[in-house]
Amino acid sequence: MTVTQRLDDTPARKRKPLFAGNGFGSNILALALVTLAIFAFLALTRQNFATWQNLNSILFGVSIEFLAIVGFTYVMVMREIDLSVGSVFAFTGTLTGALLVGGWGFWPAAGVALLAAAAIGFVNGFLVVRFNINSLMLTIGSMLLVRGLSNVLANDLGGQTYPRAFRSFARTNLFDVRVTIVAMVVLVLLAWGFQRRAALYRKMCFIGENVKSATVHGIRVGTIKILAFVASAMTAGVAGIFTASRITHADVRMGLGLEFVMVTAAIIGGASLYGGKGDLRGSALGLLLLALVLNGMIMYDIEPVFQQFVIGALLIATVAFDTVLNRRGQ
Amino acid sequence: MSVAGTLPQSRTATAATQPILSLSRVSKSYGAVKALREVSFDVARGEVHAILGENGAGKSTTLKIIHGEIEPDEGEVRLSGRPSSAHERTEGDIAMVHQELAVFANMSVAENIFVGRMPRRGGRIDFSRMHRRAAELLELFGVQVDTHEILGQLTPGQQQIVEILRAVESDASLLILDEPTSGLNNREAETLMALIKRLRDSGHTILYVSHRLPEVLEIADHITVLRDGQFVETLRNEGLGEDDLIRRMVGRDLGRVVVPDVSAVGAAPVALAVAGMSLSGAFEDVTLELRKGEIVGVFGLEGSGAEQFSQALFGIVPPTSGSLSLLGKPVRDVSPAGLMRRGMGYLNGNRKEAGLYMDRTIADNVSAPVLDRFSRLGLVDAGKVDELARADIRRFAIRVPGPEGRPRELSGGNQQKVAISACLANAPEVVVLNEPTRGVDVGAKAELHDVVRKEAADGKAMLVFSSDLPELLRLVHRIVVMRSRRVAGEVAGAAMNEAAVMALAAGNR
Repeated sequence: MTVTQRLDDTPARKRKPLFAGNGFGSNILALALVTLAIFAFLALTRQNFATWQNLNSILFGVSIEFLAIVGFTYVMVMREIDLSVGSVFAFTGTLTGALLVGGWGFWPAAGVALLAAAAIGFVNGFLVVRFNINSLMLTIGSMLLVRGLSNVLANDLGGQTYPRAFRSFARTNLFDVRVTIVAMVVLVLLAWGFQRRAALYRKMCFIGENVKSATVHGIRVGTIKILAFVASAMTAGVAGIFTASRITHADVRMGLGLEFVMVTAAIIGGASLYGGKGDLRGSALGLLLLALVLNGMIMYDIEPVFQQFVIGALLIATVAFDTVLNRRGQ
Repeated sequence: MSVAGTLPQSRTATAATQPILSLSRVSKSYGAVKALREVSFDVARGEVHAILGENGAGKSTTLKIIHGEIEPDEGEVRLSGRPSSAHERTEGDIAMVHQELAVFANMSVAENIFVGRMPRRGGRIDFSRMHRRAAELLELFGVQVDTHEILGQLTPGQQQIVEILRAVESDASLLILDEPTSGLNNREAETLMALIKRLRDSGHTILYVSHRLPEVLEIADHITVLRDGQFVETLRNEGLGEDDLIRRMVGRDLGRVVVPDVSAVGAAPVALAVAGMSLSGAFEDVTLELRKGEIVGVFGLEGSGAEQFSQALFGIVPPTSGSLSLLGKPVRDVSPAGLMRRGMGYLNGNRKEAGLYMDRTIADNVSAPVLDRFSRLGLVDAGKVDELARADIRRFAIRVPGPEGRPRELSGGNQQKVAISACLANAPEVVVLNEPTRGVDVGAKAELHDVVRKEAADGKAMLVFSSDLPELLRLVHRIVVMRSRRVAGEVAGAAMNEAAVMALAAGNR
């Protein structure tokens, strides 16, 4: 047998960690180097790029988007997708602001908004699990529906500025750094441990790789999927609350197109439309890479209208790359 | 071209005595497996000719070669005495109706009959002519269906008939019907029988494959029996009974080689009890008991419901009624996770579909069902996973370089061993095995059988679903036979032989 021979010829094959992902993005180092190269290019060619203020603002933006990609990444690991993130992000932030304008305290307002987000996530997950609805189409539906709710709230507020205390919330510092940046660092470290060791992450990978095998192996597929959709909506909600505070007023454009940034970043970071893998560290780098590209375009005075064009091109490129790499079996 | 009231006539014979189809010394191998060995037989013009055989006897390979879907490795297929190429047969004179319906559910009956060759007039489809012609066809064969009806609205039997009429309309002189009644109820099957007789009377030759012996005896002029890829005999259907056919299907060595020792099992406690279990549309009222240390086989031909029963038993498709208890305690949570916690293990019949993660390591594969047991505070102990994988590789003699090997790199037998490792990882008390040796070589098969016997000797209760009857006879203590969605009976001890099992599985009693 040729197969046996080939395997026998390489008995001293290097021991790999037992639970490594195997996508192109799982090579975090390569992705970090590409990101670094873009950074170096911009730093060398544009003098106002490598300023403390500009870099801080990029990192702050990335750290808020990062909060939203946490649950999203793990939904993708299970070969599902949650395109309602952008809308839930806007809805949760706007609802928090609206309740504050209505005289609520911050914590009750944020708590209720997050519960609403969780409920949306639960409905998404429940419909996917119970009726086996394609999550891509389903969450396009919930994306439109939640966007509608969010716009109603934003229109009611009519661009009104949020209370001062809420406006300064996003600028909270911890150790002289924005709290969201600290949170991103902590979460990346936690994700590293989670992906190396947690039984839950392995189960998610098994579900993504072969859901029928996972079922036969007694993994509670439905429960885990619903939890991931709830997590996706809630992390999007937290990011939305920070963003609402950062932009200081209700805005119907909040989080528009965010879902496409998320998909692109997650796939660049090692997730796949075909499931079975995904790496939150990679997703963070993917977001950073996209942010650098967009910032670079501003530095080169390229019209902002081209941003969408670039995001679209990158999305097509990553999805095509993902499909070519993951075409299984045939 | 068509005249109202005439049947679509098959082409007139060049020589009426010439067989329309004749196979001579046809062989076909898939890798190391010889699917057909020097099969030769003739089909006379204008007859209904049945092909009989057990699962794996070579029926579908034979049909595919006749229809020209695959080329034989050796041998020749002659049409009306002339040698023919596979391409010629697919394109030309032979029409095949496959077991699975291949219809356009959203199109009308008439469109389905004329698909691909709708009558045209001036570049447009002549709908009125198409419907008129379809109505004539339906009437000729005594089928009462409106030609405008959307096909999806019809019963499976009516759809099957429409599909056969499509083959008739194609003007083929030889029709191949592969298990046409497997999805039909008795009344629909009778209508179909009547249709086939009319087709024969109108000059068509029909090659008919079915598991149902009474049907074959009713309709066939000649019956060719295949066994283990070899031609056994072509019989004239005169004065034949089911027993005559069964004897030829299973061979003459009806005695059993090993009679497993069941004396110790009789008094053992009941490990699995199923009472009145049903899944609507799949199987009804199945009751069985399995004692510790017992190996019980479940056998059924296609459409018997055996496969669905095994899935319901493990809660993959939850049963609609009935009860299940494990080790004397009723189980309420009939889901894979719930049943595994209570001590059941399950091996899926198709390992690639469910049971393996082809691109994950062996360590991942065998630990998937027991991750929680190897975890503390939700964190997996990688050392224990590695240990389990190494132990399984030794225990089942899996030929891989180490726990990092991946199923995709392995042979079928070794893949199956990995799937069984995962199935037994949780040390289940009751194990449901589906097709435990499908697609593995002889050596691995023997090793897997040893695994099953060893588990039983350790007091586990083993329920083996297999379409490989000789395998079951060698392996199990008794066999529960299913037919037409119900338990047809049970054979055990000295009475357990192929003829007895086939009589229950395919017979009319």
